[in-house]
Amino acid sequence: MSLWVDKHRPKDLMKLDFHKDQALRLKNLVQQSDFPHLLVYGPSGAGKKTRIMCLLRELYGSGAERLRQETMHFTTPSNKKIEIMTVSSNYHIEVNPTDVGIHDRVVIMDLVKNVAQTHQIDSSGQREFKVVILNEVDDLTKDAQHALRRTMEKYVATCRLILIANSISRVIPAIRSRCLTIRIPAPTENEIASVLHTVCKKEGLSLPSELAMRIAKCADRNLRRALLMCEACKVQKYPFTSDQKVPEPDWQQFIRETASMILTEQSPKKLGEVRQKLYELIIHGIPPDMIFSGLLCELVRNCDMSMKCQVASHAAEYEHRMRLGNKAIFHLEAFVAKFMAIYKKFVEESLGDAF
Amino acid sequence: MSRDIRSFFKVKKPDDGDSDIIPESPQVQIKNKAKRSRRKRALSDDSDESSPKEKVQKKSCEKGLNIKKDKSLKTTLKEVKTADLFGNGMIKRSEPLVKKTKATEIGIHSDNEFEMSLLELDEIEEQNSVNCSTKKEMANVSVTDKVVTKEIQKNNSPSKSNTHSVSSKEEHLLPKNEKTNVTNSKDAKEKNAINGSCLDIKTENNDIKEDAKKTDFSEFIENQNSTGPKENTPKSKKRKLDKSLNESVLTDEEKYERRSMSAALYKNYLNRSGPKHLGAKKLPQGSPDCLKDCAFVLTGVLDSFEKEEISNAITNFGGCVKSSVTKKVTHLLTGEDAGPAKMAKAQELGIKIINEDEFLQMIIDLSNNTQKSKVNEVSEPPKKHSKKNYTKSPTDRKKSPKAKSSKVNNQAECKKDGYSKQIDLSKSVIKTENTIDSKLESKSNLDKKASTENNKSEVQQEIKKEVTVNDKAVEDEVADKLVKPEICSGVPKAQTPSSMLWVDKYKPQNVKQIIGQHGAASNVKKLSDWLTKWYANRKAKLPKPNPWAKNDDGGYYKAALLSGPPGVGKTTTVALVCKELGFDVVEFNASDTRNKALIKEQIGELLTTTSLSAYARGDTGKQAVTKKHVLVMDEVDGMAGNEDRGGLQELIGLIKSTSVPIICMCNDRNSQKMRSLVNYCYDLRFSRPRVDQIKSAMMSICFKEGIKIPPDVLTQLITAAGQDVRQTLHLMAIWAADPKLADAERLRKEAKNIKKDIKLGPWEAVRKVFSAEEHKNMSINDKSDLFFYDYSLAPLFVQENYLQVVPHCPKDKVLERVSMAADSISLGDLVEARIRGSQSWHLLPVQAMYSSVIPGHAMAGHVAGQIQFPGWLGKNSRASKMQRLGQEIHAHTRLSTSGSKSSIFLDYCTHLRDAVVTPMLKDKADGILQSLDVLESYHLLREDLDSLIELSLWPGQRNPMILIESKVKAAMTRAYNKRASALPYAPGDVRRARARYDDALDNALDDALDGDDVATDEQPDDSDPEADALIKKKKTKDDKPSTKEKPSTSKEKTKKK
Repeated sequence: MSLWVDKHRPKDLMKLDFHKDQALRLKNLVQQSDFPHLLVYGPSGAGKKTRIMCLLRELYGSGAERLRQETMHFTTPSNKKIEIMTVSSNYHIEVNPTDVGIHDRVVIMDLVKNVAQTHQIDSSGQREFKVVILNEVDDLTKDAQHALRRTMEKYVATCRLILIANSISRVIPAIRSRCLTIRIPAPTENEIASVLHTVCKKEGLSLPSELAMRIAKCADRNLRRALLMCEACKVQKYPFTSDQKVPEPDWQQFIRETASMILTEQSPKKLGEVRQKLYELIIHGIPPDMIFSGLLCELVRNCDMSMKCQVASHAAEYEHRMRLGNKAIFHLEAFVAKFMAIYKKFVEESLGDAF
Repeated sequence: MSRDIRSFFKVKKPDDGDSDIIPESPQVQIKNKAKRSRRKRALSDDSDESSPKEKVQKKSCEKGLNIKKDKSLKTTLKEVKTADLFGNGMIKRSEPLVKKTKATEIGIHSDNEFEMSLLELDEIEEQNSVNCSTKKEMANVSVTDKVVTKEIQKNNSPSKSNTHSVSSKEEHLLPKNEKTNVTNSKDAKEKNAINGSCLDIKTENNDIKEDAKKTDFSEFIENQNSTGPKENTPKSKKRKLDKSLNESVLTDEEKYERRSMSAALYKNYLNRSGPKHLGAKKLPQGSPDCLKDCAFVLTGVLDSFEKEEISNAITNFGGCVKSSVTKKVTHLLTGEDAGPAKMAKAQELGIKIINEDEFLQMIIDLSNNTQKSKVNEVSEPPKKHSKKNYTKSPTDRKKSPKAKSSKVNNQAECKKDGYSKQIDLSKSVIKTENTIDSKLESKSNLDKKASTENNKSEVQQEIKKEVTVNDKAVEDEVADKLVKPEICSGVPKAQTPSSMLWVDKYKPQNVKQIIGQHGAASNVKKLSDWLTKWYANRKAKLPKPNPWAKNDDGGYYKAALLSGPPGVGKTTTVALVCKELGFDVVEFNASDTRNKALIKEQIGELLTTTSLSAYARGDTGKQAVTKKHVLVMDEVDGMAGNEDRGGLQELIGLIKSTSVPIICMCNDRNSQKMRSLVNYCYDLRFSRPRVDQIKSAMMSICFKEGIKIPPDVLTQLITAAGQDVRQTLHLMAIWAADPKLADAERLRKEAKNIKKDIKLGPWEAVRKVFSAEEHKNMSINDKSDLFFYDYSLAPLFVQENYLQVVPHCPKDKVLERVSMAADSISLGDLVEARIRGSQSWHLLPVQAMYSSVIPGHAMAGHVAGQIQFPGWLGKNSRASKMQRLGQEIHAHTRLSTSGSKSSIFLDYCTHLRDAVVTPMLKDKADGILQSLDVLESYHLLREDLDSLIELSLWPGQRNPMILIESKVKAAMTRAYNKRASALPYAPGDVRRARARYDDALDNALDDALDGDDVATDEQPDDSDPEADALIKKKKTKDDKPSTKEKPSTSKEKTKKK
């Protein structure tokens, strides 16, 4: 028994709930029997993977849904043995090269070559190419991305690459230009609400539309999150009531707590406590950029306009540094320290004005 | 040592053999023996490992057995040489009269005369002891002409005795040489010439010896000279050597001897040291252009100057320095080990050969505008002196007064006024001898001489021919001479106290002088007790002592481990204690390779042998052979790396089986490397001596050296050196040498500087980083040095602790400062990323600024709390563990979920956990099935549930699993194990994780994969969840690795059951 989010995942391009015109376009593309490399990007929870799986089904029929997992082994130039898990059907192979960290280049080169150099055994009535799906392309190292671009051209006859990314800003232009980029925007809140309704209908539940809207808002336009929250609501309390509490992800709560700590007191000692909170967030695998944006959103609420700008620009600067550096906590802490200094000054000034 | 003795015995044989062949006076034989032995010992003493020599000697012994064959060979040799002699006579006809007559004379004399001279010589020998005093000789010279001839004979007699000592054959040959003297003495007119020539002969002999030492080919050249003198040019020495060995008619014995000698000489050359008494003499103050028109070539190692010094001096005085000997060169300045080629060429071109003293004298004289010739005469005495030395035994050399020998020379010169040529000749010869004395290697000397056309050289040539007659004698003399210079070279090597390091100079001479080792419980006492009781303890078979027992005398242990910081006197203690107790020390330190094989072979052998070193000290009788030796393994903590692989293990094995005490020394006995060794050793820990202990010793040294260091400065110095006696001494020696540090104030400053070199731990360093007090007298470099104590940890320490600092600034500025520091730290991280990412280590100073100096400056104040260890390290490892768990779950749920790894963290983990846990919470046991359905649909393992909980648990939250009744949990695990759902992946990694819990089940796990075993699988105790876990996996059919093992493992299982 799967969660709703996986249980009710659409399997056909035409059954997708939103961005239907885009789905139609994709279908037309595929029906012309050939298509270029694709670079699919969009925020998480927008349905990129779902759409791609539908596309594969459109291409190869239901055979593409018979998935299996395999572990592949590679040897790096430094003779280190690495293994990576792949998901594949007869027609495609999906891999997450970032799983092996800095050795992703080896994976890209070896795996793509292996797949691309073998032709389909029985090409009659089937496509002449295989599909290689690479996840999280934006997190690939530069080396790996450069390794990719030659392979893309060389093996275009036997394989198509579908690259998935959250944002193409970190994909090198050389790759971007070799692909047909497809942007999959996050669904609007209304779209999410309608999806929630259809899912509940399938489950035989009645969902008040207000609750659906509240969930949609909470979910930050992330359909996956919305569905998971909806199910959690059901577990919490059923039948639904429109004023029901919507369970928020723990990490969001945690970030909010941290932000309120910062706002209550500004002192080196408090900063030390905040540091422990930040560590906790990092340990739980919350991406530091999300911590940044979460903190910023909470912190600027109490600021006037000019200060908002100031704080936002500092946040941007430290986030940039964080990407260049190694230790996220240093930059998060520096941002918090900066905010504390600014905020304290601001508070003292406003107090001084008051008296 | 054993080697020496072997050679000692074996060398005797040939001597005996020789004496058998040609009967000689018993005296001579005895002398032969005595000389032989002395020589051999010297040989082995000087050369560390002269295995080639040894071989040669061995072989020569073997030869000694086949003496008769040799004999015949030798007789033929003799004949050839006489032929040479006559041949030479032919050549001589073109030479000036003086020499001609000589040559003919040689030819005239009959054998009777030879024997006469021999007898005469023997008498003289008897009269004068082997070490005939020069004084007598000089007196002789001064009295009458006749006595001069006598003196000549005397001069020759030692050389004869030399020949005696080697082989009796020489005696046959040598007389000819002497006979010439005798006959010459009759000829009054040519007396002086003869004198010269006699000297020549001698020097020639010496030359040849020296030559032979080096490459052995000079003699060969001589042989060739007699036939075709101009053939020889010293092109490739080695080839010639080979040729000479092959072509010349030499016995095997001789060949071997030569070869060994050449090897020894080459070794000497390689080991050529720097000036022995560097700085002992001062360059005289000469007038700026006193050496004008002089061109020098330097060769060899001078006694008290570096080559550069001399060449600078020469250029300063207006002379010039050339690199090779040409016609333009006026002087050849020679030192020890002068190049023979240069010497020969210089002689050939008639260039003056001078030594260091002569050179200095020359500067003085020339700057006084005296004539050059005078200079030469003045500079002669030392040459003569050295020559005289040769006639005496080496022990007498030192004593022979320079003045007297010079007198002799002068007197001789006065007489020889009329025969300037001959005097010249003798001079030049004397010069060469001088060079010989200082271990000159005039390889191609004779060869060159032979090829020159001028008179001098012809005379020499003549003489050489005579020498060739004495070929044999010369050869064997060579052996003698080889020993002699080495013996005498040993004497000046003893360093004068002034040039010694203080550390050596004031090394404790007995146990009581060791600093800080006086008490009854001192390590010295313990060690000597342990050593004395060692043999008794071996018999007693004591039990192993309690490791915490105090006052253990180490009776149980066969080895002792001395540990302590450097410079506290571990090695000194061992050396002195062993010396005091009469143990011989066999030491191996880090400079020896100490790997397994070598320890086993070399040291293992040593431990079972007895020491003969007492023989070397001259003891005889039973005491000489002792088993009392100690194996000292110094610096055992240095036994590491490929070189010494397995060395420590072997050492431990050695300790177990040793029959002699073993003493090991190390610096850090707690290090990982020492851990195994420590268990087998009597533990003696050396701590640093107290400051006052060192201080008193240092004060006495200061007094002895006559330097004044105030006590407080001395204290500072000792603490700065970390109570390291050795380093303290070095530092003091440097101070003593520096005149600028004469006053106390300066010394105080200096002592402060020294202090800086102590290594700080990161804790102290970070405290200093933030301390405003310290900043006052720190430069920016000092501050950045704090970073470099440990550049990988320092930024973390700074980041961890900067919030604890109370900056000395107005309160409202504190946060600003904090933010400044944090900003700088974040920039430091960027730099570090660049450093590590692209190996740009040159950026480290930049990182030092950002990560340490700027935060330190911004937060300058005092640290309020305790310095904390960087928490980042622990947090980072926890974070990476979480990442790993997340990735695992992501991999497992891959087929049924979309989304990346971060979606697991952000969204899935909480909801998945709830989906699994809630049914069990709500419905207790009835919910189990539902929970398992969720797990199955996401292909999760039981372990993944735990990871899910860990991932989703935030501080302040309760673990939902605690709320579930343990009964339900157990039931759930059991049910899970029974279900054994198919997994789309190989749970290999999981299995590994499992192995941690119980390894024993590993086999069963593999079996479990066998589908045929279902029946057996169901049996296994349902109560045991672990066992069940295996069963479940059994049914997963997609496991590739497991399939291989199926047949065998399943069989095993059935057997078990």
